[in-house]
Amino acid sequence: MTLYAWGANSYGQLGLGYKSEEEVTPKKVVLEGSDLDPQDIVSISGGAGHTLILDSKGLIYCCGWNSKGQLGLSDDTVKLTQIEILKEFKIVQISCGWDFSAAVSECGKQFVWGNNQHTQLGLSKSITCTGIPSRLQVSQKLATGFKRVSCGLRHSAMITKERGLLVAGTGAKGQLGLGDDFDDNNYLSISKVPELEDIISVASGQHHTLALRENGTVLGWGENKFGQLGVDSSVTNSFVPLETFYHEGLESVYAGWTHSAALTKNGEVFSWGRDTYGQLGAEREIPFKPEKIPSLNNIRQLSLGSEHNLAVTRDNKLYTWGWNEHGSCGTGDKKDVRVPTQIFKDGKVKCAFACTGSSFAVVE
Amino acid sequence: MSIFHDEIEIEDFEYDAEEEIYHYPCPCGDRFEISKEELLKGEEVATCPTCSLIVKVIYDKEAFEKEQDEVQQLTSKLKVQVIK
Repeated sequence: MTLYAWGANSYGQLGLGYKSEEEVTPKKVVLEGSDLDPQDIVSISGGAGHTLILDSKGLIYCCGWNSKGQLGLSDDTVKLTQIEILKEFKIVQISCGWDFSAAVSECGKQFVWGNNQHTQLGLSKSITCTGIPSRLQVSQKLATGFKRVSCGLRHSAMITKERGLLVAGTGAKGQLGLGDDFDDNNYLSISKVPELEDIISVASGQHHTLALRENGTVLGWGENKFGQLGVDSSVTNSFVPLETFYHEGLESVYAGWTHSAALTKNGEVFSWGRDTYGQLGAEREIPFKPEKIPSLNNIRQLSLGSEHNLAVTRDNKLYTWGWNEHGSCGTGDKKDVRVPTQIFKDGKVKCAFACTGSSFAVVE
Repeated sequence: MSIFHDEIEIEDFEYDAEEEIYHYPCPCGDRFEISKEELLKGEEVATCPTCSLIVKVIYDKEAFEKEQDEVQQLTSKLKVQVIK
């Protein structure tokens, strides 16, 4: 198994050991001297210029930009380096925002680090940023533990053990879903979205948030300038959750910056929102309306970057589409990819991850 | 269709006081930027140093000028006080 990386690399976020404007062709990530084994990789997430990699042992490795402490290390690094301070906890899920990071442990603890200027970490307003992963402590009334977290540009949303939803960060565009009279100054750094239950999946975009209920209903709130909530963009924002889409068998929801997607248990992909660079993977008359991407079937894993997307099929083929100015789609050129296009045609792709402007794949 | 990637209000930009530059995240991972000086001249296009995307800055030039004047007066007043 080999880890490949491509796309934007201005901060060394590809883990290649150097910074470059971009890598248009997938490059092998050399992991010599590191304990990380590509076949153990379970998840990769990336912010503006940093990357986190989670392995099946529950360890996190990081590289790239560290301006706000988003790596969880004391220094910048262009080589994948383990976050030692977290090694005593078995981490099961990670998420990167623009310049901040979050991780959830098997026992339901959540750790956060990086920028907290907008209280996006859920920490007190007096903390502007932290380079030390800190445990997020909330009252029992809000949550007895955490299951999943998704970080956006300046906010984050987390599913609690009770399957409710907590939100942190700025809500200026409605992305916290806390109500029409919302004002950042009148709220604590972390709050519960009222009346949301049975949440099984959550995704944070640039200024919008999506949540999926167990019954297959997608709720969306925040900015809708491009129809990213799944409703007509004449509604520019919603400060409360809107039921925007229902489909039986929906398994999870995903958010790019201004486009959105959902994956069904059968491996179908629905997309909606902005379509300027081919983000939706198909020509659409009504971009805000969630519709199936006809050329994609049997998808077992989906991942959205800021403006590009990756999907892996059950027979281990990797398809990419969307904005490609930094080669984020891995097609070897910089032309936007309007329909899902297969890359790594000669290899079996185990998993693939779209970060903000870059991408990773584990290939056999 | 406009060539702008997006239209962003000045309040959503972050200000780097040392460099006198306003920043806003670009989807490529870099940041759109426009200097205070450019804004005072009436420039409204913020560019990204590493990609071709540009955004239109939504701001009121007169209000912005007035605000900058006030900041300057305040700063010079403070300086005078320090000197005294």
